[in-house]
Amino acid sequence: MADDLTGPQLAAVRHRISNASPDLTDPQVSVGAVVADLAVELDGAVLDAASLANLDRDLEHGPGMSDASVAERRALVALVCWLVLDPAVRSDPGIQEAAQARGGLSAWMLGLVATIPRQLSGLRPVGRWVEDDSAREELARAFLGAAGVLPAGESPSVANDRWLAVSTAYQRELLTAMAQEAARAEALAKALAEARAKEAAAHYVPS
Amino acid sequence: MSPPDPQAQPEPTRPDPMLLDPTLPDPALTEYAPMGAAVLTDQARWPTLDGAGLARVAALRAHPRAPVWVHATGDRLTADDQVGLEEAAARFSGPADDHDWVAALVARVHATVPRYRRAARDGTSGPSTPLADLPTTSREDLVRDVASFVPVDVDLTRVLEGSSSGSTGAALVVPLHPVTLAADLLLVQALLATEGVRWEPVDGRLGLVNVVDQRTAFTYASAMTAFRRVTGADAPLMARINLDASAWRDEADRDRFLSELDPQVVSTSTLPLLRLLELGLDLHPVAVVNGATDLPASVRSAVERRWGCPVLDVYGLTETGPVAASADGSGHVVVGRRVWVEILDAAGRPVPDGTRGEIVVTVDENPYLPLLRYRTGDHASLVRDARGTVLVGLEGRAPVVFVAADGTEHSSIDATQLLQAYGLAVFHLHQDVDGAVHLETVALSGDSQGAADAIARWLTRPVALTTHQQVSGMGTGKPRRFSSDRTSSDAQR
Repeated sequence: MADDLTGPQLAAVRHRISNASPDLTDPQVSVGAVVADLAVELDGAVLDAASLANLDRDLEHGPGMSDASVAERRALVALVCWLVLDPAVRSDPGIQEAAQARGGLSAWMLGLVATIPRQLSGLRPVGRWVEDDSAREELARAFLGAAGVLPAGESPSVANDRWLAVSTAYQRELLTAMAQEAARAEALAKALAEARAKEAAAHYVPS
Repeated sequence: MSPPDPQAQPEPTRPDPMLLDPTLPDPALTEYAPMGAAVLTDQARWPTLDGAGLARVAALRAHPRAPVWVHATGDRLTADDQVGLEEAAARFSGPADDHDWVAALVARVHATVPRYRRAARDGTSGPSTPLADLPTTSREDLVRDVASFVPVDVDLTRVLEGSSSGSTGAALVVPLHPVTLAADLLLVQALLATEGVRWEPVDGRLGLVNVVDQRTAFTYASAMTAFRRVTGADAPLMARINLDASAWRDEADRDRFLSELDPQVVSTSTLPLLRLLELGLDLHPVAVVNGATDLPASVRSAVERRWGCPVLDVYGLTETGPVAASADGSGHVVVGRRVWVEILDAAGRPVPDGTRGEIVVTVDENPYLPLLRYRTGDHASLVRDARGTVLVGLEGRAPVVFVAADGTEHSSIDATQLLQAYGLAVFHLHQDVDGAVHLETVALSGDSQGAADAIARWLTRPVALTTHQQVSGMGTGKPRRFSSDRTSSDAQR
């Protein structure tokens, strides 16, 4: 099962992120060209028109999309390319197997550049993904998860627990849910304490 | 420590509620001060009743022989609730074994109920987890944090406070919905119709009386607007009454009130029912509904002899609502509500059909409290036959272990069979920590001495027998049939 494939060490991926050049997140970088070049580099694939159109759609302004949002998505795609370009990553046996299951390295890479921005954009300012230790771990775990491998030395449940611990989206969701539940508990106690609730209603069967 | 200030006023003494309200039997029972908890207008109590309907309720309250009403409450049903009631009525007449709703409930609670949302977040269960793989829920879970069982997406403006005293432990506040409560009436109607009971409103008679017999209780008059009836017919009236003499201006009023209003359905539990039988009133119920306590066969027979009407024994808890019912004493058939019953062993594992274990209920009727795998603390075995899913040998309390003189342990289930074989309807069998056995009975039925002798033989110990002349001698509150001061470790010594 692809979920049980083991990939590189998490520390190696985090280290690779920390070495990313600030130029990668420069808005002037043509991210589409980076992706296309990477596909050729990976397995000699020349992206077809449909793939390029999809990529352009993901990286260009859409309705209601802010400049910052577009810049963020582009930066995340560039960081993903930087990770895939790492020889230690793409030659990893687990990665190789996961990529084969998805139709080869370039198809696998295209999946990553579509998934990661969807998953992480809007969560942190662009530069933080490289500068902050916790952000690097979040990006590294998101990358390996989307790549179809577990960090080396981690079981699926450990990897999932650690992912939930660093996932900004999950933490936000958790906080929202906990706040909602706390508010509901208060509202319920208040509703039950109201005299209209205490007057209750007729019962027909003893219980 | 500073010296006392001679100018200081003495602290005001706390008013003694007994002095404030001499009708209270105990200072702790202030909520039972007459009308102390009644706050709504009658229009709010019965939003669908017109002026004439409200006047009928008022006339019942003002009946010259009426009890001292302790409470006023209605059914709170709005016109919009009719849809939910129609759906409930359709379920009650449909196949009881349809449980396609269970998987949908599991999925829904993982999105809406805090306890299961947390489990989904923690990865311990999810929307597609099979019911049998979910953890069970206990009464203690609800006592500790009932809010974590209430869906976050349900409007709280209709919530009503229900309470469950249980046989042990702290009282539990149960959030209830007006439609859920009213649906109990429709269920009784459906079950009695299946038994061929003709229950149609009759002018001058109460449609239903809910009878208790305790030192203090909420009593009230109401109109049953949910009652299924021909279009244009008045909603029948009901009353909750307390047989205890203190609940009436004059004890004779009780007998005349009941005789004059001759309730069509008597809804009660074993001890008040026995008391009602003792009163020997000229009543003509079309059916008796028993709930809350086990119904001994001798009591069922006594009702059938006296009134010639069927007795519907309904098993359920406040938290779950009705689960199963027995019209003939041969097992309790799971009712056509969204209720699913499992039987689990002491370790929480399912047992094969026909094997005794704890009744565990999954129920999705009360929008405020969907329950998954709720441990009732009650025991039975389960069989499936032409009637549907049937609970056999229902024992409304966890079996108590009695220890014989030779140290062997014996289940209270054996004692049930033994005591009922001697025709005892009401009893309490207790074992002290030193092993001494005491049997309390009521003289009205059965052979108390014969039963005591049988218990003595069963446990090879002497049995002290106390026989009360009246049911009231057994004390108030939910009766306990078996108890023991010995702990498991005592039993193992």
